[in-house]
Amino acid sequence: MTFLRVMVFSVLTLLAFTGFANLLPQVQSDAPSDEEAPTGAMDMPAFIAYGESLFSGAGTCTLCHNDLGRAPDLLQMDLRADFEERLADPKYGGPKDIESYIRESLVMPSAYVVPGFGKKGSNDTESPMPAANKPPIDLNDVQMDAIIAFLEDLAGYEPTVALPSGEETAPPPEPPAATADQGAPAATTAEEAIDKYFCAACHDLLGSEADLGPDLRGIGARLGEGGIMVAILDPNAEITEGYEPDIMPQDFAQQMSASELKLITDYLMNLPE
Amino acid sequence: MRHQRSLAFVALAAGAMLLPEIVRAAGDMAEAAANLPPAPQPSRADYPQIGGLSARTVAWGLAQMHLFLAAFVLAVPLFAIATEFMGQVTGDRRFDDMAHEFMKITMAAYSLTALVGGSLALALFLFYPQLMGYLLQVFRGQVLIYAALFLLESVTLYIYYYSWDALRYGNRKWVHMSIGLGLNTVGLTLMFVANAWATFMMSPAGVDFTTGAVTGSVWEATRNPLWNPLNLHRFLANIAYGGAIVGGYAAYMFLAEKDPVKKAHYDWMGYTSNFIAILGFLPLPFAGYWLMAEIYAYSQQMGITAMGGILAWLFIIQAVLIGTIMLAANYYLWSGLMRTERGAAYGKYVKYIMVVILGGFLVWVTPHSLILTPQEIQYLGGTQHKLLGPLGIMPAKNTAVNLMLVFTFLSFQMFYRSSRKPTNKFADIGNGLIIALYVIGIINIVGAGIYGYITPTVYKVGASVPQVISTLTIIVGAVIIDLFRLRGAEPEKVHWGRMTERSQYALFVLPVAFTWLMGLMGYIRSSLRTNWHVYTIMKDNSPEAYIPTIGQAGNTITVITLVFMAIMVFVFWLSRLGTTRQKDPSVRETIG
Amino acid sequence: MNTKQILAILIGLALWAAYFYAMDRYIMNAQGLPVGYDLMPL
Repeated sequence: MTFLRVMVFSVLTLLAFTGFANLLPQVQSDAPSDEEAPTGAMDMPAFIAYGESLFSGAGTCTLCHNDLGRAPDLLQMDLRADFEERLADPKYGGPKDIESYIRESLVMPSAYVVPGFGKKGSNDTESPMPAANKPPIDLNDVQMDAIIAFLEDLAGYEPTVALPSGEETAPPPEPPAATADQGAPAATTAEEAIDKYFCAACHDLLGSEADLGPDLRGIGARLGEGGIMVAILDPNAEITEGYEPDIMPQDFAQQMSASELKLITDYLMNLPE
Repeated sequence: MRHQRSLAFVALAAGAMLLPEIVRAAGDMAEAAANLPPAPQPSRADYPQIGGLSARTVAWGLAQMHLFLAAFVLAVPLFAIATEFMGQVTGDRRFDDMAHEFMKITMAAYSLTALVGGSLALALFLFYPQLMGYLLQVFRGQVLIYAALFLLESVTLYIYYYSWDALRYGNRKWVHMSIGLGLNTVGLTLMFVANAWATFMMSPAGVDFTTGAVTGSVWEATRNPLWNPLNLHRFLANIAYGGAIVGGYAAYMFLAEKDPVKKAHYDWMGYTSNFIAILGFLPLPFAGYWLMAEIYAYSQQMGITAMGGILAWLFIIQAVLIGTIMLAANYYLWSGLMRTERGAAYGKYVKYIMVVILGGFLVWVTPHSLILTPQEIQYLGGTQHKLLGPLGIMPAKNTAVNLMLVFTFLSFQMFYRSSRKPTNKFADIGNGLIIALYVIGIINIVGAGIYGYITPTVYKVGASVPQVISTLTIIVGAVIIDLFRLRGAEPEKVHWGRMTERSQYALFVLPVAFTWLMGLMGYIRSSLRTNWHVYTIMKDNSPEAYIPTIGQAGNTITVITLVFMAIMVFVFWLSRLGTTRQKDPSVRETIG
Repeated sequence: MNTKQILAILIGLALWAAYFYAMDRYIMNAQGLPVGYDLMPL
């Protein structure tokens, strides 16, 4: 008899917990699907909508960028005013156009940390945000472009990113096309040039800690000045072991000015081991 | 065809890797990442489909069952050695007898643990061969060390139990306790090794982060960021869990026994095991907090998935369970006050403690965002209640749990004092100091909570540490002062056995709630990885790579818990069967 | 409650308040969260 009472009591207790679990909101979270970013003909409004779906979906941006105070609430704040303020700030040393700033925030969040949102104890020098183009978020460039388009549109600007072309696989990282850079003066320092051409997005330069491309320390000794230039202008000529061809942009020869190439080469020649 | 290939790969990898790896297991083998094989990336079709079985459910069920049993089998020797030691120190035989009785229960459970563990290993290799192949690459010779440890555990366990009466007194007793110590060391090491594998899957280390190639030593992979937090958390939880289960056993025996002497024995056993359970339970929130903090530090993404994203509601369920455990434990303590005359006098404070515990529980259970229909959202003007919404964020939760812990400890302190009448001069001063300690400590806890509302996020999070230290200071300070205060105190007669039936049901709530809670937390820990086998390194492309609804998860946990309860009933029945003797019918009773 | 106890409580309040205040300040600073004498963020 005791046994029965004890068993019934225990089972009832268990059922109470189970019942509570079933009363709460039931949400099933599916794994992000394997399909690549939609390519092919997409106009800008569709691209912006895609960016918005990524923002609250696969990009997991809204996990932190909400009103709970963990990260700037991008959907609620006055983005335009914030962007203008950021770019006008003389202390801010990053790219000087909106699109590049957003892209930098996505791939190198610690390059600039909004005051008050840095990691605890790092005095706003380190951002808790993970790089959007690496796992676990792992967005490809088309997806990042979509999010940039979405944010630019949200801020009230005309989106400046390129629409995706009709390729099946994710296109290699491209320098921003048709941006304010057209006709802009050539970079005057190595750091400016590196920023302009997004070298640090793939190579560990200027503290980016990126490792999509080979480590460039000591490259001067390995390749020499001429070798570095060839590596920049014709990346597929020689691929470092362990890396894939067709990832590094092939069109620096058309985009870069000779003075910029020289600046970057000199910088890399002087990189310590 | 594909899964046969994978199995062949596993066998080949195991054979090729293990032989030289036995020798090199502890060595450092860093090589250029580019030359090493990357982590496998199986596609959906690579996952074996066996019959209509749900791979995930099978693995989940076996893993959770193994953890339940293993927690029990690790916990009981822990407080067997502790009670054995207390028996030596106090000279009270009851402790030694109780320790012996605990160990008897463990024996049956041990082989079941190994059985389920073996089944788990088989299931994992069957359903997730690529993952297991990869983990073997990472941990190499350590799996053989794990096997060797099991051998050692068996040897020490059997010797510890069977030599109990042979090594009973004097120096031999200390030999016996050394064996017990060895048993516990081996058991702990076993758990630490298995923890390394589980935490590696969440916070990998010693591998190349882009390809998953194994670049570091086994020790590097073992010592990943979440290893020690999980070690501490599971160590404490095991103690609490073992205490709760034995308490349930004692409560059942108390209810079933008619003989008042036996009832008194089981009442005493119930109190002692409940004491041990709460002792293990009190520091658990802090260990859990450390674990969560390390998860956040490792990956904000993972941390926020847990507490701000899809898994957030699970922590409300956790709050309900912990609140239940707290209420049950406190109720049992209050009921225990009736065992002494002095205790009854403390009874008048119980209602205030209950207000705090209940209030804390309600705060804990309050979510930040409410479950509302769109019309309700419109009516309310948002998803958060204006007054109660703020109770949903961490400062309120931390304040509530710290206060609940302080007041639970107060219940203990009252019971401890109820059987001791203070006689020394320090008594009054000491009491004054303790009252002051509680007052300032509580003000500090509440103050730090309010502080969290008026400061930026990083300060809000940082304010929880002073709260924890306040709670610990109160507990440690009060214990030390009371120890001095009650030196040479006049002992009051404790009427063991003088307990209501109701109070024993509180002792049943504990193991049931603990078990279900363990299942829930295990589910959270596994889900944190979302769709990764090894976070950011090896994606989970299996057909069941999704996070089920809370209801489904709750149902699965309940089924596993029910099966476990059946197993424990069987185990307890076995141990009693072992002492039952059938009367020989051929022997006639002679009288006089 | 006699005078001894009341005295003990009062002195205890002062002592514990000092301890907790010092502990709070130390812990916040040690976590990399500078606070001033009023314990508010600097």
